[in-house]
Amino acid sequence: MNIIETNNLCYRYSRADAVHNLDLTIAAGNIFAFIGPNGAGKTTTIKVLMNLLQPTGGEARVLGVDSRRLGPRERVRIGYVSENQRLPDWMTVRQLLDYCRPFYPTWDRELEAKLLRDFDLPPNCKIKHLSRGMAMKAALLSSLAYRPTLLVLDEPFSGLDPLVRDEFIRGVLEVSQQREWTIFISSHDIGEVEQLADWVGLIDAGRLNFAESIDSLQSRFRRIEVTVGEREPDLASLPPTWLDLGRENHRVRFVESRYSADELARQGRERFGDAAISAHPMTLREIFVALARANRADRKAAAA
Amino acid sequence: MSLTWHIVRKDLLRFRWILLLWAVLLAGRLLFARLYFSIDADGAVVLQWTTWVFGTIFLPVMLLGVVQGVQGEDAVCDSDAFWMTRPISPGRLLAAKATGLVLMSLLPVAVTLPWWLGLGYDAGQLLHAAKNTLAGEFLLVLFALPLAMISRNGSRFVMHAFLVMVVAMLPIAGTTLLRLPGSAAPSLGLAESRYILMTAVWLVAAVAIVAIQYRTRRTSLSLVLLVATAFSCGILAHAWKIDFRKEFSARAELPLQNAGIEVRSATIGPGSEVMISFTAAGLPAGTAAQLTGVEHRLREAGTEMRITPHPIADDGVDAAVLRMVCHEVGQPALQAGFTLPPAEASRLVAGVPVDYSATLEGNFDRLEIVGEVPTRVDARVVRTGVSLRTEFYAVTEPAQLVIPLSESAPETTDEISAQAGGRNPVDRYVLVNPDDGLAFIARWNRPANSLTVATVSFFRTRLSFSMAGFEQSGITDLPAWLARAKIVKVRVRETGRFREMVDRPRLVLSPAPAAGR
Repeated sequence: MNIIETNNLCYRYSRADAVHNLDLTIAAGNIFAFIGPNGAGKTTTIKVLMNLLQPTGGEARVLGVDSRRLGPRERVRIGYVSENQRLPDWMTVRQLLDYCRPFYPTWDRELEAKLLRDFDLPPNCKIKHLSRGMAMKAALLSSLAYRPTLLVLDEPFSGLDPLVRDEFIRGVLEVSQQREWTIFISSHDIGEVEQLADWVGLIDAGRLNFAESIDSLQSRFRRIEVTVGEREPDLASLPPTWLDLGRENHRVRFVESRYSADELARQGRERFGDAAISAHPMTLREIFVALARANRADRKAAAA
Repeated sequence: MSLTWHIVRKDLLRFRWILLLWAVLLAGRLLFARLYFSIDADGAVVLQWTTWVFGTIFLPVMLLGVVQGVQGEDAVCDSDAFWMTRPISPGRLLAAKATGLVLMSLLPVAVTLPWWLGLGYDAGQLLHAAKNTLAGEFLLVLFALPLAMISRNGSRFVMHAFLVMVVAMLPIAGTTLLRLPGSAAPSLGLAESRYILMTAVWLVAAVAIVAIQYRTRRTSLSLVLLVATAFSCGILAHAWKIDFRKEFSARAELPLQNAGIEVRSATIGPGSEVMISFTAAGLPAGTAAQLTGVEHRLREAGTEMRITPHPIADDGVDAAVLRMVCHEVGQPALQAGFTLPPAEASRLVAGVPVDYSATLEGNFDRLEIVGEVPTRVDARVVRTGVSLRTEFYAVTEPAQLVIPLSESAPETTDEISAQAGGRNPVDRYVLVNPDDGLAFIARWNRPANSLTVATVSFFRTRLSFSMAGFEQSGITDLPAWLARAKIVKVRVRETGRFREMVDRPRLVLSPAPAAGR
């Protein structure tokens, strides 16, 4: 079953497309990292999914329901934590939990107590007196204690110090291991979501570049290094799968986004002759940076 | 416990200190009003002003703040509010907010209830007072609600309120700038028609904005609708010509056909106080409240009042003060003082009920005196387009006094009194403008050696100056008519019965009285 499904989803602010023809499918049980640079459309997409904004085109289904019809019946199964969310900061942590609890029939008081301890949250401290990280943990606690089917985290690590990030991630992972659930996490901090996610989608300028499993992604991206020696290589009309091309002394470097050892060897022979070609696995961060650069270059070219 | 009530409880918890402050202010207003009524000194002006500030500024602002706070706590104008991602439907939230606001609106009634009970209100009066209190609050909430719907915080709320007020004034400004035919002071019926229409338009817009914000949160659309509504209200307030309240106008022009005053008792109390109790019925709403010029929010509370004048003990200077304690349905007790010679006070006691004089008359269309004869401008109702005020004073012996506004002017109360032919001391006068017949209440403040003039105007402004300062600053800054103003000494004298006086449909101020004795 697909927990989230979008079809040509669009959201347009007055003059600009924030999300453009987004097609996305997230199956149950996945931890999906939605990454992209600042202003790429991550938060807007999430707000549309959560029915905080109405799509201007296309449709989105969450838990099998049109996002525009998302109501209390669905929200008892959805947890949402966002850096932008305005928490009732006049409440203490205890008051926040007391306030949220009656809305959720599945609220687990034991889990609440455990998370309260694990997160080291002071129950009688007002949220406005908490640090940003502690406040985020309080929000996460109020979204985990009822064991939601879908947990949506919008830039949860923004502004958190490493220790708090680690606690945050451990909290999510610990609960997620207890039962099968789906996490949709947006971030521009790839290193953090890499620890969590098994699927990743990259959005840039409102357009989805890809959405696939991290294993698949890492298997198809390689940083290629070609030692060309004194010979001038043929760098015209490169394959579209070669990204982020650079040349340094006698070496040519690029990112192959559809890596296949045989195909690379064939194309290498055609362009570089018997030059030595080496392929290196890439981290998610390196893939993200390469794609972002390529997209930026494409946009500049299109604008020119 | 329902989830709706759960949200209401959260809001009550959130605003508990604000509500406590509100209750303190409400109690403070009553305290200041009580102090104001209980002292007879120049310092009373400060208390009156304080009471006015409480009633006119603090408490309405507090209510506006509560509306914005309650709504802004779970804002419906942006996408970052906490409630939106929780299993709370807009309908449930709306129900909770409405319930919370209703509960909080009951606070003024709850705080004032002991005061009303202390005044001996019966159940009907209590109901009446509560209804009027809530009606006043409803108008404020109605004004604030659409603003709160589109304001995520207090500063936005204030900004939107200013915007609405400026937009509402644009039609008037435009008419003035373009020199279009302005609107004369509207008749009471027309003014009433305009208010009803504006309220209806605002109500419809408020409902629409609530629906838009709770269903779709299209704040830009709501803002446009709000601005258009404010502009429409501005046009209606200025240019609407159809008086669909003719019935009301006709009734207002002859408001006292069925009025009557029935004296209940007259006794001499402890300390030689003369206690006269009588009930006035059929008077315009708000009469007693306006009697002493006290502004408070419990206006227009009823059409019956009970007035209990009782002179305080003779002060040994050949005068006694007749203090009137007025109870109006749904109103706190109000008091006003009149200085009477002891003999007059005694005669009051002896002669009551037939000989006490007061005349009540009104022109509800514009600022104008419609007194009876110069010897007895005993009371009048002054109505501008938007306000009603009744001023009581018993006038006998129309001793005309021209204030000689020159260096040779009398500088002491005694001289003024002597010139007025009155007894000494005299501290109650009515100034009559010979040009247009407008009357002003003047009060001589003996300790400060100054004259206070309460103008009969919409804002009931007070012009106060001392004679010494007056001479130094010259007289050219003052209205020219003041030099020719007549001062009529205020006294109480036996005349006809109340009922005879108030049954006269319309009274006209006769020419200025002859020179004083």
